[in-house]
Amino acid sequence: MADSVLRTETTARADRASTAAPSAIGARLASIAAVVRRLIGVPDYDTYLLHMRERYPQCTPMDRAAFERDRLTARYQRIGSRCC
Amino acid sequence: MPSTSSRLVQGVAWTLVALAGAIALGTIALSRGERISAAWLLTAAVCTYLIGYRFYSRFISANVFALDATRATPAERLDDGRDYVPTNKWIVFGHHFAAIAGPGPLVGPTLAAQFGYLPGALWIAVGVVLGGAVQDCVILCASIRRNGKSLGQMAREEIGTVAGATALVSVLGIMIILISVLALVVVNALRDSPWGTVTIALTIPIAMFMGVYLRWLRPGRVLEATAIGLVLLTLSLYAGKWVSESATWAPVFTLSGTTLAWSIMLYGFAASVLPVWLLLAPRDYLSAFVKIGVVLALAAGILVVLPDMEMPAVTPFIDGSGPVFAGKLFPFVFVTIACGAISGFHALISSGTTPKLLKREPDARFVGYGSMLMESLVATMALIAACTLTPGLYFAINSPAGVIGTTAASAADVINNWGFFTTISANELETLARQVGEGSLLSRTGGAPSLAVGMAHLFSRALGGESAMALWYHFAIMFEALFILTTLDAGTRVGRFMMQDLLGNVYEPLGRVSWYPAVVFTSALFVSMWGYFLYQGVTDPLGGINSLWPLFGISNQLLATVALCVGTTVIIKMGKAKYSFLTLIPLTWLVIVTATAGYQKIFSSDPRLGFLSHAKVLQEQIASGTLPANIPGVEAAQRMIFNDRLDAGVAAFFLVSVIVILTASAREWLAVIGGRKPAVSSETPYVATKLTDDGGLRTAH
Repeated sequence: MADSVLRTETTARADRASTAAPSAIGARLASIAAVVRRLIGVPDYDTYLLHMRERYPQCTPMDRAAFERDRLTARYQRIGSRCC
Repeated sequence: MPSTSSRLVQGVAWTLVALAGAIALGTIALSRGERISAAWLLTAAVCTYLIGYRFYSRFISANVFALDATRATPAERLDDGRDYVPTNKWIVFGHHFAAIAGPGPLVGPTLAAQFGYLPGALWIAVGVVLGGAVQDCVILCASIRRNGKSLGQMAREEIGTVAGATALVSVLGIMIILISVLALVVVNALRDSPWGTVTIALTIPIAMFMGVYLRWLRPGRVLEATAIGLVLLTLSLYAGKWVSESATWAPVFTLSGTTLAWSIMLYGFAASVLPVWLLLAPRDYLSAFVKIGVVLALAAGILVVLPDMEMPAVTPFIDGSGPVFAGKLFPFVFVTIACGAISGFHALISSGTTPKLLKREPDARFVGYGSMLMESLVATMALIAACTLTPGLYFAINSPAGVIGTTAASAADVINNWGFFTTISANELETLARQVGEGSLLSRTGGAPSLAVGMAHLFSRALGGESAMALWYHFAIMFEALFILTTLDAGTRVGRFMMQDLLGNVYEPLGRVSWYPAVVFTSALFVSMWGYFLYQGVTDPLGGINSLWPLFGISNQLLATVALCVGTTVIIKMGKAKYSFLTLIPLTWLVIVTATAGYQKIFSSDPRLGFLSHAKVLQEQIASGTLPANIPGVEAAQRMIFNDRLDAGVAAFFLVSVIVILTASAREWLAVIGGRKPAVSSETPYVATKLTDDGGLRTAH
């Protein structure tokens, strides 16, 4: 189960592999960290970047800071991200 | 197709699960007089969940919605890399669970332990399988078939504008009551407790430090910042201990209920107007970690220790005479255990972020139904932790001062005079308070402290022994308060945006989210709305939880009524009216429960239960000059009368909303079933998925 999560996470970030740690353990740690970040609700800039490159190569994507600001603002504006 | 032999194995396995569950349920239900192990409760609950998931949720996904792995989800079709992102189902599950799991399933079952463990345990297990998980899953399915629309939008489009407007107003109402009652739980846990107060207060600068760290020092290093935050959190626990032992500083941080109430209002206001990166986001990261960690620790603690239940299966208080909250077993056990069995609030999450993340349609079953089962398991564990306290101790912590007095001797006297439970001595109460590092544990109503004592009991038996009790207790309090304050701050901010939306229609500039005066004004307005109920609860001699928690339960079930009405309408319009029993069963039950509870809270002739008769008694006492000693004067009594009437008005508003939404829905159902309106589903049309099983894109062929 966890393995399949990690595998999809890694494939989704295939383009990032070159920037990740060189060793296999490092890559594995990086993908675990990616899962943990998504679990606690950190905005996922890499997926966004990948998406923009694939679908809208002609547009300039937001930089990391702008993207995070955008996501956090949206998150705390709407109901439906927090419960009793 | 599975082979005959593997189907046989599966059949045998499921029969065994059913058998184990039945034996456990039988043991719980039939044991009288002797103490039973928590293992029976856990087994019964887990087996019920497994059976419910395997068979009932399959019926929802296969027969009712016919979830289809080849059908593209909104996440795929509308993928924008921001809101709509196809995501692995385990991550969506974790995300969804972290969003729905709040303090509700911890507090509700703890309060309901007043009736003994049996009623609560049964309702948590049965209610979730037939009600709560069904609601979450149906709304999630309906939303993914409609591009991830929200509950309010679906109510307006499927039922009508009246239903849509009622849904919107009731969401605002539930937010106000929810935040005030949760804030009251925190106040009662921290009142006169320098250790707890210092620890919780320190979490605010810790979060702000993390915010600054992530903004300027090491941008984007969230896990690093969170790890530092967690270390600082542990240190704050020791800082609190140090302060509570210091003769100079302890009095400075020994705060009264009203001071704490004002501080929390100020905090809510600050969270609403400050930038989110500074306070809200880092707090959320911390809280998500602590939340998952403590839930796992609680499960491990219960499994390792396997404590006996000290509370009887059923207490004499099912007749409505209990000190924790007024009202008989029916309907109040169902109103009190809100979130662990069914929670309307979840429908907002199921139609919020989650439907925009699901990669494959069939994942809705696992995420929607499955995570609600997890939440219910948390509720069962909270019930177990509360019921491992001896009844005398449980009632000393959870009864208001108006009932048990303010000294250990008076509390022990009152509780022993009931003659229902094993006797408790004043000495025992004082010793326990000392063990957990508090001056007194009496009348810390709201559920959080008694759950913390229960957890401290469990954890210290597993790790650290009696000397670690105080640390574990304050750790548990810190975790509960962190939980609650994250709901409170995010809720206040969302409430502020809702106010801006509403008031923008009246005076346009008030709707501008970047105009500071509007932000400050609407934040202050929303904080004062929940702050009023909080202050009322803090100054109420009956403890406040007594009147506010049932109101919260009623409002949450009103929202569940809205959700189940939307679900039923969707199912009928799909042309599957024969399956509408799925949502009609929990809907009927909730309407009966909510209507009875609401009616009793307003009109009951028992002044402990009915708001209006309580106001009347106070009026007579003012007239005859016989006000009891715990009400400071005529002015205070008049304020209480006003509050009673206000609470009655709020309950009436919730009741009327239930009737409005139900009538509007029933008319729509009858029109469709009677053929006066065509059964047309508003689902977005089928589009084949392009995603392959491993998550990549299918190449064109």
